Amino acid sequence: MKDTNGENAVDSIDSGVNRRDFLKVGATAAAVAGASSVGMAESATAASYNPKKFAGSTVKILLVDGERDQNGIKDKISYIKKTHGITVEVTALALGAELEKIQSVLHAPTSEYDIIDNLGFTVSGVVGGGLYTKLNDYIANKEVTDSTYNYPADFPEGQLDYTSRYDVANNKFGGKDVYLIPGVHSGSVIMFYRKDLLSAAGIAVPKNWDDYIDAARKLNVGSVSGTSMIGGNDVSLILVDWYARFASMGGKLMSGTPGAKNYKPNLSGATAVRSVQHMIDCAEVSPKGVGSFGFTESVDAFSRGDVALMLCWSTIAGSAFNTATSKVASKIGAAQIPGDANTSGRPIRGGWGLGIPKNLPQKRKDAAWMVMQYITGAAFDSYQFDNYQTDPNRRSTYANAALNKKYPYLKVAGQAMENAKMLDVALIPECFELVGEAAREFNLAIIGSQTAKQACANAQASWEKILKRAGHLA
Amino acid sequence: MSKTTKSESFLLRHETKTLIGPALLYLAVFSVFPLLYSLGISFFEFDRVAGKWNFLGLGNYKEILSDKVFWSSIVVTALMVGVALIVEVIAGVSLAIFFGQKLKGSKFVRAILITPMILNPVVVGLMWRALLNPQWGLLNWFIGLIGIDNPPIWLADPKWTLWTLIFVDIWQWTPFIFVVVFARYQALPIDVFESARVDGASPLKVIRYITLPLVSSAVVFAAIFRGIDSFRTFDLVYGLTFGGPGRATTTLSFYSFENGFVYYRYGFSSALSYIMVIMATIGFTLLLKWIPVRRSH
Repeated sequence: MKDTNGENAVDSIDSGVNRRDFLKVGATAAAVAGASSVGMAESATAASYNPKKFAGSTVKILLVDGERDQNGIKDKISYIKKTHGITVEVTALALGAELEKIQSVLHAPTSEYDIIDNLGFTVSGVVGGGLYTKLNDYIANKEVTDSTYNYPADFPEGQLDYTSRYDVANNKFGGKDVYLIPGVHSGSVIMFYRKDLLSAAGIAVPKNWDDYIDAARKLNVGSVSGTSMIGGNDVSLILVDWYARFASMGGKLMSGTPGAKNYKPNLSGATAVRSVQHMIDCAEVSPKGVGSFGFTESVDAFSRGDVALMLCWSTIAGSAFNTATSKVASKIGAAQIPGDANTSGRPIRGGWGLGIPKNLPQKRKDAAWMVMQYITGAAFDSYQFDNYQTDPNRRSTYANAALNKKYPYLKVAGQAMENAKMLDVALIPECFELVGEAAREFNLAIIGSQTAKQACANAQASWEKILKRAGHLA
Repeated sequence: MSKTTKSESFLLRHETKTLIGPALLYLAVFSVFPLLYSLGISFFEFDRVAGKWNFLGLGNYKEILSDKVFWSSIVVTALMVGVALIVEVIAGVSLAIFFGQKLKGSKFVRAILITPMILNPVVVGLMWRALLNPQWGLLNWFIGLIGIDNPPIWLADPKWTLWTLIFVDIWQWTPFIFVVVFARYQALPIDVFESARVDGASPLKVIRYITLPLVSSAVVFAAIFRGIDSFRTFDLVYGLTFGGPGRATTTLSFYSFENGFVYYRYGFSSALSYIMVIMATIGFTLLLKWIPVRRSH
């Protein structure tokens, strides 16, 4: 039987509902259901933070050893268990071992770890390789992220574009997509000095590199060396001491771009040679054996009171302010690194970012986020800094009045973090290889086996070879 | 025939395979497969960003043969193996003969003597880094006590660093040679030495014409094992010098590690490892042909 529209009516059923009526009821029911689901979504969005949402889970974290990152997290294992119902297991490996481990777990069918801490210089390789979970949805989800989390406002912008946001499609830092959260420590390079020695000698805190070497020479008296540095065959020779000088002297490390295959180093120019020569001059007023120094030897010498001036990662040398680990804790000050005639001090941007591997089941990712948003939160950031003096990630920690009173270098470290410059070659996966090769050449210059000019020429040749091999330079 | 008898018969017929089967399987899985796999990847390189392997053919091998660091690593490795091995053999054999005299307290001293070889090489490297610290290390402090004012910077002076590395290697592995040779020496028949004494042979002649020939098989055995191990030295370099200063202590093994695990050039590192396998195989085959070993009866 056709209805008035000419359409076939639904066969009448015993209840007498026809097709049109059925469709009307159906449409109404659908509309109600739709409205209900929107209402439910709104309710979910408006739902309060549920810290125990993933209770019963276990989250495994991989960190670097030797930088005190694991200390604060281990202290808070029982707190996380009580608050979130999640068991946390922490593994900390030496840097080299951690980097190797990250490669193997990220390429495995399933990651062994739920949260991994990534060195900033390796981000282009691991995040750029699409191996981490995008975090935007987690951050926006109020049910799993505390409303006080305050991302991104509470983080230095430059740090977000280094160890947080990444444009995987175009393989470059920054953008809208979040893959890491800055943590457990950040850090840049600042200058540490002995207030008492400078004062006794009537020397002002050096503001430029000429003043720095002059001060070091004058302070090199008796058992105290004028300065120290990471002069050994170590990537930090480049990252800490050399780049601080080079960038602050106005040097531009690279020209061109990898994509255009014209990514060329500027290591043999006047600024590069000048910066290496400055290190050679500093080595003459440094402790004996500075040509074999890594972090430990340099910071230990400073903390023992054997050195007057030093550049270092603020997170590494923060222990120099700790009376438990330093003989001169009350006598040291911190300042921005020197600049040059026309350039202010421009330290390198360091830091790490925590991420959730992509090769995990969804449940593990969810539980990982719950733990990660705690250990990248403001409360933990302050705790970690206060107890272990690793550099904070959050502006609120840097600005904390009580912490600034207790650790006078905190403000300086915060300013350094805002001003810091990302190492140009962090853009490409060959970053470590380039830095390692340059470190070897500059180390030979520091120990007197070659001149600054030779070292820079050799490093330039080495870098061009690597960049050509990698296809970044035609 | 019963079922049990059939099984027993099967096992008896395939006794050899049954007994060595598990060992062969282990070798196949943990030795042969990795060897073949790494040979395969030596013709490729891994692109970490794209997450894929790119075929290079002989590209890695060509690059290695034109790489000056490769050639300098060969020199470093050759010096390390050559010098360390010679000194370890001389010192190890001398100690074995010395301790063969069964002096009072020798057992206690022997136990201390072999301690270095049971330490982890990375730990040894780190320990010696501390001992050699120019400012507070024990060695330079002791040198200062005997009146030498400016002792070398052992780990930061290219003139000294390789010899320092070789010295530490000798310190750690001489006990290995000593243990092997001493065990052989202890098993030598006494009557040969008694006859020599009765005949009026001096101690030096006994050592030269009787002791050394009789222990030569043990010496060669220990030297070959030690030589192969020394050729592969990586952990001591890692702990003590990290291949520096510059490339002064970069051995082939360390260079392979650096490329594979620091720079993630897995293909290049595998190719380098294969070149090392070829070098070691040729080297030690020639050595075995060249060294005459007296069979002792």
